[in-house]
Amino acid sequence: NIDPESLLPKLPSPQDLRPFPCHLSLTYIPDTQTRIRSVAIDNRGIWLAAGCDDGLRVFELSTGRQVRKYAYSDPVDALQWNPVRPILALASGNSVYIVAPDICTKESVIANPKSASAEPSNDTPITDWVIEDQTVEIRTKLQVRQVDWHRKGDYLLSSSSNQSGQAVLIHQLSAQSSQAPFRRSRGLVQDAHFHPSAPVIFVMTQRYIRVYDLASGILTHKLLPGARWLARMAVHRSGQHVLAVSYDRRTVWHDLELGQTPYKTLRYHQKAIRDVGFHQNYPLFATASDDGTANVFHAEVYDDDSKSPLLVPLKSLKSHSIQNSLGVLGLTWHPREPWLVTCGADGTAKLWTA
Amino acid sequence: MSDTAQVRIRLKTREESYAVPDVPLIVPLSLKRYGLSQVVNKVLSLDRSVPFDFFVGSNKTLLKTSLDKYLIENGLSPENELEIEYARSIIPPVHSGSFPHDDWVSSVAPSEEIIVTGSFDGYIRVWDYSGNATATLSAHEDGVKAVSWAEGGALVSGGMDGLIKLWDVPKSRCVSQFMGHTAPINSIIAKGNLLVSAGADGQLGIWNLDAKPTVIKPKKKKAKLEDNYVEPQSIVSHSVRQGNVSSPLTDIIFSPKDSTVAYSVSENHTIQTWDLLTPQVVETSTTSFPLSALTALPQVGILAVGSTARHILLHDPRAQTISSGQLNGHTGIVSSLAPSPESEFMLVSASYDSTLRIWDIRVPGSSLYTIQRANGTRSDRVFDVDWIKTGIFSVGTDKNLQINASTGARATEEN
Ligand SMILES: [Mg+2]
Repeated sequence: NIDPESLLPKLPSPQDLRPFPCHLSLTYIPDTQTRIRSVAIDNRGIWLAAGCDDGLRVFELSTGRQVRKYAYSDPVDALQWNPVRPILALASGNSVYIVAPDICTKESVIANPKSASAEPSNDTPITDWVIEDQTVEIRTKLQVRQVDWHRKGDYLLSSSSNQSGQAVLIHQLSAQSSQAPFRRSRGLVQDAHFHPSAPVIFVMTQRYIRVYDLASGILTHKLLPGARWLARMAVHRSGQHVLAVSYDRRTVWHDLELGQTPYKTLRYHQKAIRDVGFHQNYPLFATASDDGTANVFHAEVYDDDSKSPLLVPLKSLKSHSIQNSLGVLGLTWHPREPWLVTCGADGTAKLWTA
Repeated sequence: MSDTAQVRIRLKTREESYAVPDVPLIVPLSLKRYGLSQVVNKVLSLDRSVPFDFFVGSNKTLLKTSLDKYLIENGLSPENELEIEYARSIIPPVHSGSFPHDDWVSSVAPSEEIIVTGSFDGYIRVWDYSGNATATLSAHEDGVKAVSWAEGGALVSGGMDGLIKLWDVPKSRCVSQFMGHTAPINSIIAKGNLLVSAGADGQLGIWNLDAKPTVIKPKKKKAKLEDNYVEPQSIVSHSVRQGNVSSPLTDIIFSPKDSTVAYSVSENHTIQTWDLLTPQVVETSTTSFPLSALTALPQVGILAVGSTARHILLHDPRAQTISSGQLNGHTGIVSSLAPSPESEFMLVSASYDSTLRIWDIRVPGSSLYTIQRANGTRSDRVFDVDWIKTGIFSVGTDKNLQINASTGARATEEN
């Protein structure tokens, strides 16, 4: 008569793993009703950018004040602040836009405009660059779903839900040029990210995650998350761990050292999962779902390779309402604090603090 | 227990002018605050009745019931002598007016004659006490974030645009502008010719208000010709850095004893002491929380520090460590703090939980009063509060300047 529960290893209690976001502190509401699909906080922690169905909005993070609005004809599916300069990249329709919101400072998107003597390429360019002082539009041939800046802030990765060779593009801001690293894509591309420190990119298709060495062009890992339709991924700052979330409600942790199969598969959401993100400094990650919640997990990664990551569910954040079966669509972490911003189909973004 | 049951008490106060002789008194157990207040008034033979509040026991609980009930609830015997501390009480802060704005209001600077507010619509408004806006100044693109009085009735403002402006209020004129911050101004203070600004860029700006404005070419096309810019080299700014990126400075005050010293708080968890003349940070105290508001209780030598984790820390800047005093009760980020103009132990706090709370630091367990928005909702955020003799002034997303009367004798109400 042994309680089987007592044989399981004891997980630490969430109370002992503080701080983590648990308290709703602020709600951001655009001036007009619109779904918010994506959010991003600049690296100083001052501005919150929100990608909406009708365009881009920028809020002051600390007060909730909307300070800028940029209209786009297509929904802003994804956005990310440049890690070095106060400019942001966003995906809307077939274009990638790079915007410099002129609040307090006047920043040109292209810091050092290309010299006029630059050699024109013989090939037909795969994208059109339309350059203005505060905005650059990179017109591509496919609907852009995701953007990711390289850590040095010059290269930008964009991905499109497509099988063609142009589903993944790498844009170079200083050269005002785009290139396609792959001739074709093996499956519908869902997401693509730079490795946090090495010349490596991660490409997620509907079923697989592939890791490529950019210098040699060699496929180094092919991960099999075991989900039917992957949605988004997040790469741990170590570059050794990848989180993938799926429309079929799975959160999958891959440790690249452990081969092709997942280290853990978590099922904590009732509906499709739409976004996932690691915190930059804290051992935390979060997932966003159409069930109207965002889940926060403790995720300790050890330097000692023989020790497996410790994953502990901490908190389910409930406040967004579900609209037409759509719930929490995006999330972003604060650059320093264990604070999370979530956004959703209910037309709000919410700041969760410790 | 019969009405005539009695208890021996010993009354103590920290307010010397209201001290009673240190002898035990025998009083009925049925006494409540009002009865005890009458006892003190009688012992002191005061001409005009002064209301007092009473704090009982070792943990100084505010007496809200009869002594009898207090003893029962705390399992105490009426046999023992009861030590009671008392302090002049304030009247419950009565709502005495709300002045509507067109947009959210970020900041307020009251004086005994006029009140100035800064709004997110970019305007500074000057109000008389009847609620008339006597002047409206177009101040900052994207919103005014901070307003504060300077010497001689001059006013300083800081904006979402990162600019600082000096105003001649009677003439409704901008005297000069100070450029250098690269993010919104969160707090601004002025004394003598010294102006100090705390920016979301993590910079503390120290400026000379007497610097002769040099007309330099305005960077923005919208800038008007009459704008006077002070050249950026008059800035002495210092960054509070955490790693490679500066954390926003959220509030700044002068030391009550020495206006060449300032205290600042930051989202990077620190309270810093600045020597404004050198200028440099002379001391840093690190807490466990991002800090969002700051005020000083000058007589008791304590800094009260508001946190984003919903509480107020009590810090003695002379001590090397963070003291353990805490005021708990708010359910949102604490956005602003101001000391009472009459009691050295009292302060008011503003929060994103839509309330103001009045505290006596001798009773950290709970606030004395909670003030709601008169013209707002529970989801409104209060951004700024100040407390002077003429009232408690608060502003927020309810688009109102709310005034609560707070001082003077308590009405002879009781229960
Ligand atoms: Mg203040």
